[in-house]
Amino acid sequence: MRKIIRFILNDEIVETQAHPALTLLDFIRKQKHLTGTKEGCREGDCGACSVILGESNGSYIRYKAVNSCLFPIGDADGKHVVTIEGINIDGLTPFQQALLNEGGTQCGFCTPGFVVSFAAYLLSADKFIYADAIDSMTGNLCRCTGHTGIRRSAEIVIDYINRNWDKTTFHRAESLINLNLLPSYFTAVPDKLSKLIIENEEICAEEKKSCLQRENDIIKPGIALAESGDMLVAERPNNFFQPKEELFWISGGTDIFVQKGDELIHRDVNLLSSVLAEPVITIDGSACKISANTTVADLENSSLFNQILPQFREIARLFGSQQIRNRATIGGNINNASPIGDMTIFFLAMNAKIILGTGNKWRELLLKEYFKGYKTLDRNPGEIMKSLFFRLPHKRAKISFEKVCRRTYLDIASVNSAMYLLTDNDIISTIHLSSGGTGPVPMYLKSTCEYLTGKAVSYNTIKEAARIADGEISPISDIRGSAEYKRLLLRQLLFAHFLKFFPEKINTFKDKNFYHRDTENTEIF
Amino acid sequence: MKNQDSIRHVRGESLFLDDFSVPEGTLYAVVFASPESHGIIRGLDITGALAHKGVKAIFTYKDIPGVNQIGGIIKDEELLAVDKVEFTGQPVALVIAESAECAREARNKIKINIEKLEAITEARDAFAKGSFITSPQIFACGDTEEAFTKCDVVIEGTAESGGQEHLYLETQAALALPAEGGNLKIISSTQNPTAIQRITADVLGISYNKIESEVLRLGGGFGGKEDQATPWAVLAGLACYHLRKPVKLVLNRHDDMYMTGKRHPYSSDYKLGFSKEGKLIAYEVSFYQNSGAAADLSTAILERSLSHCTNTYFIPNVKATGYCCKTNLPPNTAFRGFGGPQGMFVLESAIHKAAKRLGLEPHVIQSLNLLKEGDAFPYGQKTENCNAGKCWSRAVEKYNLQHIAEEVSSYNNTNKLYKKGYAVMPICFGISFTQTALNQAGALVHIYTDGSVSISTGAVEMGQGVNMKLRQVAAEIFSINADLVKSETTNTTRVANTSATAASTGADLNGKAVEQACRNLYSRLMIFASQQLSAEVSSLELKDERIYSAGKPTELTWSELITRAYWSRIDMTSHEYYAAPGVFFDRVTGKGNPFAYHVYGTAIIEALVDCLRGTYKIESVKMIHDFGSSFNNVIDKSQAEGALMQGLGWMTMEEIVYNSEGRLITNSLSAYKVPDINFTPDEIDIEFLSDSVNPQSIFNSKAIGEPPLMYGIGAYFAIRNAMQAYRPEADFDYTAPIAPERALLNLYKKAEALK
Repeated sequence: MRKIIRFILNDEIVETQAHPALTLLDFIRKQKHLTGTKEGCREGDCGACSVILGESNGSYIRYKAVNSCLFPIGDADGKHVVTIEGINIDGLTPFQQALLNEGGTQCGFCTPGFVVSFAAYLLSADKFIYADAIDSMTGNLCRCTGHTGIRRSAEIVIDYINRNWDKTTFHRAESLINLNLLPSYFTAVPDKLSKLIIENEEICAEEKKSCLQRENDIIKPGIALAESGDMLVAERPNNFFQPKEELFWISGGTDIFVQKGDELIHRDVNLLSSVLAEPVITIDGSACKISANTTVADLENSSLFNQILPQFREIARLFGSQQIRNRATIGGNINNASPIGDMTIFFLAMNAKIILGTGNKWRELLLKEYFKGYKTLDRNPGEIMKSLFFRLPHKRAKISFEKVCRRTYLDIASVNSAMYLLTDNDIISTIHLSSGGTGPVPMYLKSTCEYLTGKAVSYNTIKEAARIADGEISPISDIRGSAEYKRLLLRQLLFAHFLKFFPEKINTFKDKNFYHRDTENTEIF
Repeated sequence: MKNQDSIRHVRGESLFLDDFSVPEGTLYAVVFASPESHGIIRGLDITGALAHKGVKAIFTYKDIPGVNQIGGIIKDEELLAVDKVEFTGQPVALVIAESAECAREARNKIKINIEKLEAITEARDAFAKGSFITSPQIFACGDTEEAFTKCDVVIEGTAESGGQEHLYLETQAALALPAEGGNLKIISSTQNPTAIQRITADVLGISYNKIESEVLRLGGGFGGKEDQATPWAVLAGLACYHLRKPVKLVLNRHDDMYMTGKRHPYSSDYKLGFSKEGKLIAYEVSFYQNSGAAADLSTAILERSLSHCTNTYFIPNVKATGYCCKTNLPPNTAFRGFGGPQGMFVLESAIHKAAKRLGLEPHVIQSLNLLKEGDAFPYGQKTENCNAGKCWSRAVEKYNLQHIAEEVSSYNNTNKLYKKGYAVMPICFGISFTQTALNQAGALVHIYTDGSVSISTGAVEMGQGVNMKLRQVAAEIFSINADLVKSETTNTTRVANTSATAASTGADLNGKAVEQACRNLYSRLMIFASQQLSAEVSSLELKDERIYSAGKPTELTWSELITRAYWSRIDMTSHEYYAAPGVFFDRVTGKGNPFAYHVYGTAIIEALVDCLRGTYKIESVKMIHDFGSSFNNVIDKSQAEGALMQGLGWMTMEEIVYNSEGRLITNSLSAYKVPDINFTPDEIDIEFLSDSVNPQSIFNSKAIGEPPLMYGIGAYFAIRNAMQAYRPEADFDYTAPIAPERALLNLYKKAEALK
């Protein structure tokens, strides 16, 4: 028998025994007939299906926007799900009114998604800043396109909030209710949700056999996992039994639902969230440790992580959209083994290590040694990645991440690259360089790093480093760009890394060959 | 005035096709389409799919009782392939099942055996192989050959512009409902409900009055639902006809992207002759339009490329030739601008090149050649109330072009890796369907006994706010609150023989018909009121929901008047009809007065290019646009902003890629990128041109849907000019879109490729 999934949908408790991989979108639209949430693309790229997810952490509810088209309903268990219908008040909220006044809605199909994303921002932001509000809508597309009017509307409402914010009100939801930005039922949700969670635990206890327990940081013995991107494919030990079909484990779901959306509801599926502990980000001696199920947004929002890597917040904005970052995990991004995974490229330059294994056999491996070939990992059957750790960056370290794609935000890189650099008197003492989109795997540019170590930063040094890097990579022409482009782009990004920190030492304009890609018969070098 | 229809939008309460409650027992359809771009069907095996649990039926061309033909202008497109396929995504069979998921699973079990033939994907390749949709079209005036001999300078070149995916957020969708007596009601997301009525009837071999075709609203159209909404609605109708069960067909995004056509890519050659001052004297251009595998609207689109080949400039000698090149891509179709942008891009490229040759700024040549009152277009029509110069001068003055030029130049002198560029983009766009007969519209207006008003027309609401504008027309004439007026669904049983809502004419044509119908009712009511009040009709007027007599309020309020009129047996329904006067066009000579009027404007666009990374930002767009006398500023401004953004997308990041076999590679939103909220320029300034009169249209307004899209062309040149500042010696080609890859490869172009 399937586990009962119980959650609060807007202001109503709902219960279903749906397949856990049924998308929240289909449940909302087809079973609950709440049609304000739209299907635009089913791949997390348009945001028309955006809903808000509220999770209780004991004392308060943390809200965030997610793409309901990539969200397994099983993960809604014990949560508060808010759709556009659950944001409406009598009359219009100031944001809805602004959209009307400013021409920020035309055909109206994308509009609920924008309203939902904006509301999620209001529920979760530390401070109300126009640029952050816009970023929260990066995952929403208006093709008509009322983006200009939507921007004006956001500006008007952010200003309105900052002028009228009641600092004496402790609860976020209450303050928003007072400003007509949220319906009043939100005040009752925390109690309702706490009660629901207790009830769910009771039901769970009764159905113990069919219900997986949360265990601290360890996967249940007897089920070994091998990850493939967001998807975690479980392979039962050989002596157990040979499954007819592989058992799918779903982590964030942001990739597996794009690839296999139709298929999952016919498969035996378990949600990783049902067995893994909460994500943890810790400092352990001189290292920072991140559990594999940490989302990109968890990192963005972690004050600890922001202290270690203050650059990260800006870098993360180049990764997907807010909705995607709220679900996509570090483990998923690495184990997807995509040659252009942004997080992988970043952590390669942090010279990170991962911990993988099973049961009580765990091993450490340098991330750069993990990728063996296109979508092939150095992972034994049954092993899963548990966490990632990296040495705390030196306080003088220069860290840079570069990504070029067709559209700056919510796009997949043509080439991305990261650099960790430490210099002593302008001599490079430590350097880690990575590049994505330049070969079958996310690459650590070993020879380039070796060459640069001990060198003084100069135009000629970087030029030579770029030449060496060009020898290390093997890009192919595909939808993200031609091989010729990717080779040129990596050279440019290597220069970009150094130009950020040593603009006075690198003058690309002295060398006219910098522009002429095929001087000396070696293309750009 | 705000668009009051939007209240439902922002609350998520507006219904789109997939949101309707469907009757119990509704079946779901998915389309099985050709996996090959060109070939002969040797075998089709549907047995496995038919046996799939939950499948109710699978239909092929054999199940078509009438004609297997959906071509609009030219009858060259089968609904379901018979023995030959001509593009990947061409419908071959229709799977009907209990759910869409089930139908998709069954679809995977259909086997097709296709003997592959060579596929053509490029227009020039089709031209070389003699593969055409129809014979070439030519627009000409003056004598170019002779004129070229008198020019100081003659340049030649080529220009390329790419396709564009509509990416309406609501995909193609239709719901067919059985009615008694073999009749059908089809509700769909189409810009052209009448096409669906006619073609479904033809395909089923029944009369038109047996099909009721209805539209509530569209989640975006942009031309992509003018002709290409038809097959899906007809297929749903076909299944419904056979099964006598409701059938819903909603394309998922992937199917929508690879099965439907897009904006036509154009490859063009030009020859431009001018004086040493930059006065344009002669222009020859050949357009190679990539039409795709069937005509669709290609011939009409090509015609607009020809009629807009001189944009907003006067050139006395022109010869424009267009070829509809037949390729093995999905039939390309209408997209906002309808061939106009493609035509204009070529001349703007030529002017840009000419400026370089003469050592002038392009805007010097542009301003020297702007249309003046009474100048003739190559198709013979003369400008009337020409605002080309007014828009230009106002833009140059208000936004201080001189200052912009100096700022850009000083920025470029002090910055090495970042460069700025600007461009001026003037536009002139003709309003009317070039197929004269389509310039007609009907309206049916009822006043109910409580004084509320119902309007039905042929106009389809797709975000352009036409429903609100029509409500305003009625509210204005009756002098009542627009809240009392409702725009109804578009339904072929209420207003028949409608034209597509297209060519920016929706509010113009339907607004005029509504105006007439309301005036009829107004006259009837005034005569009735004069009897009631024993006053002269001429002394009466309706103002603020009350009858005024000789300027003084009477006891007759609007609702009182209507109640009394009913009991006195006054007909409170009017149907009216509007045929745009004065438009005609002779296709044989290529001459006539095809447009009711023209829309003008001038935009100044500034771009910042990161020359290290090959990326860029459009920093500002400032425009003086000719809205005529706008009667809804909020709607019109947002239309201008939206069209502009689509134009920017077309010229920059939006790039459609087919592989050499004609298979769409950019087949998802992760691969095909459109402008997002961050790409929107930080500064968009829109000034409504003052004192623009336009007696040809409703309340002196001007159509707004398409024209501002063409300001986007300016972004291409602004980016290019910034790149030129980085590589002054480089000679870039004129190829759009200028996505980051093209920008970077050009910025670091090989040495010997430079002049």
